[in-house]
Amino acid sequence: MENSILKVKNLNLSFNKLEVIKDLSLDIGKGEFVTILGPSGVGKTVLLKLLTKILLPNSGEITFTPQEKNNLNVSMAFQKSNLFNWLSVYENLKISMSHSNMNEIEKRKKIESFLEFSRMINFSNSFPSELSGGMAQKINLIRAFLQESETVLMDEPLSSIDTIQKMELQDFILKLWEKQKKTIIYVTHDIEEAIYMSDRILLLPFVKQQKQRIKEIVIPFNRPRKRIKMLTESKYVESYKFILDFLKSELEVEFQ
Amino acid sequence: MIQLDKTYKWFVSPLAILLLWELSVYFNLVSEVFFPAPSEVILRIKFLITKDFGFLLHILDSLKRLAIGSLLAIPLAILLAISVEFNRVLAFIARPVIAIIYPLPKLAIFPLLIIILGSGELAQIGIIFIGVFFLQFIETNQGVRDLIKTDYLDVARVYRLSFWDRYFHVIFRGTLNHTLTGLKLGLGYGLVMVVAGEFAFSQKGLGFFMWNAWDQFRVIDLYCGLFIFAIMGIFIFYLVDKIRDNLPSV
Ligand SMILES: Nc1ncnc2c1ncn2[C@@H]1O[C@H](COP(=O)(O)OP(=O)(O)OP(=O)(O)O)[C@@H](O)[C@H]1O
Ligand SMILES: [Mg+2]
Repeated sequence: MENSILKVKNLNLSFNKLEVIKDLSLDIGKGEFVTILGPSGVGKTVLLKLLTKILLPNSGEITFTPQEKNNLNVSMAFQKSNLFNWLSVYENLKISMSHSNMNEIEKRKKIESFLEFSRMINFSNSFPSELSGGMAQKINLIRAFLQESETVLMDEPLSSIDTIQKMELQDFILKLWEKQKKTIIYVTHDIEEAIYMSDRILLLPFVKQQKQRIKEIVIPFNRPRKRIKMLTESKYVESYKFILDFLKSELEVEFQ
Repeated sequence: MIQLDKTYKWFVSPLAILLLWELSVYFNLVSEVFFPAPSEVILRIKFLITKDFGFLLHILDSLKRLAIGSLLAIPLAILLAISVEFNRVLAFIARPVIAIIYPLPKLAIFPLLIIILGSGELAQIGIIFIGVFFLQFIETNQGVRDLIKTDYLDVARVYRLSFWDRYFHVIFRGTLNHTLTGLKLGLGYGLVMVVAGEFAFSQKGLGFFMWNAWDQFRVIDLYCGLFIFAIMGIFIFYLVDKIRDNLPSV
């Protein structure tokens, strides 16, 4: 891929005898919104953790271009929100910029502009336990976007949010993505969400005998996308069916 | 800030018990020889403090020992409780040593301490140190282990937190709840050690005062000592709980 920001080559990881990632290769372009979709337990979280170097592979290569020193390439919004419960919203965001070269005033400005943008400025001094699930997730997302890193990983950030708030937060993520010109690698179970959000969807299968071959589907809608309009288009139904067929075959289940 | 509005809740039941006790003595339900009325005890304390400067000095001596022993033990215990989880060499050395010493009855160590440190102030503080240290270590260490099981340290890693932010703002603050429980237990046990030390090998302190009172069968003075210890104990619990109440819920 031209303009590639991340290349993964022949990646392998096993936990004892359980092969979770096997001979996996990926190529992500700068500024792309790529979603990784796959059944529960295939290794989506593991893959993201490999990209952040929380986990180290048994073999294989992960190359970011340009390669930043000190692993400054990625930030990540975790599956559970994982805000530090004993720190206020502001402190949570500030501590995440611990490594930044900005001075205190610049940091404050940047954090406050993000809080303004997300209409969360009044909760600056609140503690995570005082926020609703959706608001906490919003802060979790802001934390990931605040970073200087070009690539943001997101691990099912909206999986426990109700439908309406979910739509709001999906648009929130898209707005931040467009505004910040980041590359996003997004993980979700939700087929509709994947199609609505992504440029490309990578379907991650379980490791069988051979190598883990990712099926890929390019989403043919222009941006900005209209949610309802998209749902009625035949291209949407085709994409939906393609993904569903993949999940059915992976899980070996039958349904209408 | 520390709220004082609900402070009264701490005094209702102790005062009720004292009142019952007082009435029991008044109506001769219990022997005044063994159970002097609380009002008598309080008057006696007042007398001892105002007339006899020595009693106040005894209290201050005990408090001083508790303070020095604890101030040495608590930071060290917290520091070690955190470090052993992140430093293999330290864990290799410290863990077994702590596991061996912890179950020993601390009072059984006291005679040995006196042989090693002499019968002066050092052994007195040493035994308090040992008493406070282990409870504080065990509680804080448990907190750190619980924290490690969460994703918090992965978050700290992905966001490349500085050394200080990671160890102070994440690990220390994230385990503060456990540390405060350790503080309560540790200081409470510290009081036990204060008395134990002073009973045996000291010419001053509240423990010594009580030992003396026992020796001369001044029952009421035994109660004076107990009351003062009770006040110290309740003060420790009160203070720690107030600190905890003012932390964000974790
Ligand atoms: N630290 C670990 N030690 C051992 N096994 C692990 C570890 N982390 C993950 N696994 C295993 O690896 C496999 C993939 O786990 P992973 O969490 O990546 O799944 P996932 O695709 O994110 O699933 P979900 O959609 O439910 O979040 C699972 O079988 C899991 O049990
Ligand atoms: Mg997962």
